[in-house]
Amino acid sequence: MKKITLGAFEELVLLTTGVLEGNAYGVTIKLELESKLKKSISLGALYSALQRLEEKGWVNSRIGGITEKQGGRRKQYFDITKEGILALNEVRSIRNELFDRLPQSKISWLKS
Amino acid sequence: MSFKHNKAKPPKLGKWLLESFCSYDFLSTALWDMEELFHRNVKIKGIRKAKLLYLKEAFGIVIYLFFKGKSQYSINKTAMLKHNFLISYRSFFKHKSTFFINLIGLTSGLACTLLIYLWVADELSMNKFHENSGELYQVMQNAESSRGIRTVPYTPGPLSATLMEKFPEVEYGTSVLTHDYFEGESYLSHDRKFLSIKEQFIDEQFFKVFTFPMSRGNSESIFRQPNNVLISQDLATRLFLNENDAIGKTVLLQNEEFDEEFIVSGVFENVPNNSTLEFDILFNLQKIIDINNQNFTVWYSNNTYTYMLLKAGTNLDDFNQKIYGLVEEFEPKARSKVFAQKFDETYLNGSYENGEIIGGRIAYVGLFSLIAMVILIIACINFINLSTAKAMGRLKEIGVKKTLGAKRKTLVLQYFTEAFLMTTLGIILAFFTAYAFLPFFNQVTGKNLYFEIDATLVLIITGTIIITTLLTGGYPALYLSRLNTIASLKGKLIGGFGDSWARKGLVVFQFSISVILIVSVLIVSKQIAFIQSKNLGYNRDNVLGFTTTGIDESTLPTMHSLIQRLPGVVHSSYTAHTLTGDTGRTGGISWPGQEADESISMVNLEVGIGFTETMGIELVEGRTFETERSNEIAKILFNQTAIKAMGLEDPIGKIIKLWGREKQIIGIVKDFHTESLYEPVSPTFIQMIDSDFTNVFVKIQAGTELQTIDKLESIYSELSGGMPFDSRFVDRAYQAMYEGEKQVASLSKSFALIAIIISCLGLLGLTTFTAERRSKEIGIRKVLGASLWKVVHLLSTDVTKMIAVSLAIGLPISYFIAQRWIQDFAFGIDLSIEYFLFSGIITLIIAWLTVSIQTFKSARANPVESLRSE
Repeated sequence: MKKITLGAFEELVLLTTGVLEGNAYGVTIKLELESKLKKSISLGALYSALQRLEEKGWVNSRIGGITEKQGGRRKQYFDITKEGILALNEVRSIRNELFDRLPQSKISWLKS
Repeated sequence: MSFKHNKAKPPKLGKWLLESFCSYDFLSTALWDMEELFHRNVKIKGIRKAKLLYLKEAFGIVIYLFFKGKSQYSINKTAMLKHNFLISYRSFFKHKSTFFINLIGLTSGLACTLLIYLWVADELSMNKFHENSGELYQVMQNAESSRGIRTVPYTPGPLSATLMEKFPEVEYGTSVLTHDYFEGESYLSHDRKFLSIKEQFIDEQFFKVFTFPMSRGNSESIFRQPNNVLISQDLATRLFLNENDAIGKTVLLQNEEFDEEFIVSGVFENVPNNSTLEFDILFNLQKIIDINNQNFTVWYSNNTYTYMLLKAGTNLDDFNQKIYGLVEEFEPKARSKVFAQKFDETYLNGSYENGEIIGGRIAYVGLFSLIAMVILIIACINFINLSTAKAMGRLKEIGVKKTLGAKRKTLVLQYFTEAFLMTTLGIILAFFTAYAFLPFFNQVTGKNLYFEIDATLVLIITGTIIITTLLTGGYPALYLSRLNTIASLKGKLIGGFGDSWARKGLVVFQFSISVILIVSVLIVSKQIAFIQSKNLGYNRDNVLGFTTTGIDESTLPTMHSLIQRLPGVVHSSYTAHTLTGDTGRTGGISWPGQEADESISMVNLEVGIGFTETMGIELVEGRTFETERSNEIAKILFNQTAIKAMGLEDPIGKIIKLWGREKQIIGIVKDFHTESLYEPVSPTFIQMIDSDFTNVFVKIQAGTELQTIDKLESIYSELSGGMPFDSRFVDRAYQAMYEGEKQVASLSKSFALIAIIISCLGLLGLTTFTAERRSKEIGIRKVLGASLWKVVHLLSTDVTKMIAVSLAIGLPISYFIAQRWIQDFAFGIDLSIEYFLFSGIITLIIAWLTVSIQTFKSARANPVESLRSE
């Protein structure tokens, strides 16, 4: 079986979902990401990422805030799963390891 | 969330987009988020921006869903659409030749439509830019004479003021004197820089009636000082480099009436292309009234154009009834009536017969719109024919789909998708093609058209896409979706007989149109050649004409003798008229034996010595004007038509009266044309004058044109003080009279060519298809000994029959159309049978040649290739 990978944008979405804890749905994730990345993010791209994450089992979705009067609109909240955290951790550890192996001369650029 | 209370609603289009692509669960999620975002945006960015963002997001979601999304989030329609796109793409790719035939046809058809749309839109926008264009009227005058009623735009000078005074409906009336009034060129100069100009004289109401915005200074300023003028931005930059520098500068105007300095008091924005009033400098009308009082203040002198603003809600018919006899009220002898016509209609409906509006350029607008439509239809027919013909190859596809439960609607949608893709691709290419051909099109039409992406253009393009998709996709979609499931799985076409008839009928239609176009092009170009070579009764070769602007009347004899001494000059003469449309006309002639109420309107040519010799007008009897004799002013020449009209016998030596003065007839000249060939030769007289000359004509010896023109130019500039020499050969001026016909001729040539190419492409596609289908039959025939020609004949018979039917339909129709057109000319060519025979044979040959590309290929193919598969 092919190893399931986590894309760069997916990673950001997954992280934000975790950070927002309990209040992560389309609008909040979008606004949070936009304020952090300082660029606009299309809802389409966001949904597509969330749908992929849900398929991989790294987020769960639950329904909240159904308004009967609004005629079929509902809030879909996303929560990060344990597998999601593991995946994030894995990506992070790979990254950290690689970063640590950067030559000291390059890292010293950070301080200047 | 309390957005219930907020009144702002997201755009319907965005919601509709989401609803038609998203699955139910996903839709409700997306809608919540979208609306929350929307209301947030309304608060921080405003409603307009928020709506735009909503649409953008909706498109984004749909596109993600379409290209990347999993099917569980979208509804089945999305998947079907994806499938249809894929199938269309594969079918285009599989049948490349059909695809290109369709694409080329649609592209050229749509490009023609786009170009014609630009032209038509421009024609329709003429004079519509004035703010008050809804209430803006021009007053026209019907002058009655024995030859019938002639409608002219020239009106008496006092008319506008009288209209304003006497009729409460008239809000403002204005008199305008255009540059037509001056026969020669006019020049404006500053610091010895001469520019040819189009001047116009206006009164105080001009700017109240028309909308010509100022860019510098005040438009009222020219009415404060009689020597103030307003100039256009273009003129200002050409004279002074910068329009800011223009105000207060002195300019010198030179034409037949003026040699005077004026002060620039304002600059107006350039007159737009779609204005029939063309001018680049404005003078106070009072200026010319002061010089030539009686031309502008009496009722029998018609020089100015009259325009007015009527109060909103005025009934035009009632108003016209009121002003009908106005001129005769003031000038009982005038025999003319006035009527008002909406100003923006005078351009398109500018032809009159018996004082009634009978159309005009609007006919060309209609004609070209029709041509655009016909070309588009021809292109659509290709698509229809080829798609239905190709249905054979797709029978299995349809059968399998139907077996799996595809509804008819699904199949219909599939073919419409295909047609839509084709059309969209076609229109994108057509846009580029039209853009590339625009300079050429502008040159032919003499316009300055350009693409401007605005709401109307977008609307037209969307409309064209929809109509073309329906036209091209409609029949194939209904036809293919109707097929019987089991029969189509077996590969049999049911009802093939009727369908091949429909296909043949469409081809016949295409070629009938092509035949009509070929005949029309042939006849239009023959008629134009005929006009240009027609013996006009005078010899216009090598006759050069120029105006005497800037030359003092007293130096004319000097100039004349200088010119006559030049070695390359055969004859020379000066006149007050030209032979290319600019002549006087009068009914004020009386002759012995005239009935009491008889009057003939005659063309009046006022000329100097040597006119008939210079123009090569032949003398039939008597003599012409001679230098040696005195009192030639009391003599007169007539043409044959005039003598016949007056019924004079033995006319030489008889005395007639012109404007009350007696003149003796000294000669008769052969008939010659002074007007357009739409009119028969008019009765004409030639009289001598000794002043008020405006034109000089010089007959130059063939072969010495260049040197002689150089010398003439130096004489002219010496005597006129450095004015630019503006000369033109009479035959060129003559050709310019038929500019309209020439434009129509070259445009119809191009369009006919396109129509024929598209038709032939379609025919080629069909023949290819037939040849493919009959390849086994051909193989067997060849094995049994059929010759190459036998096979070619076999494949071309069908085509020949179709073309024959097209000819039978197209030729009578084209005869009818050609006859109608030729009737407008007083001197038209005979519609001989040759033209039609020729067009028919041409069509047949073109069709055969087209078909032969394929027939020879299949006839030469090795029968083994086609037979081995079984």
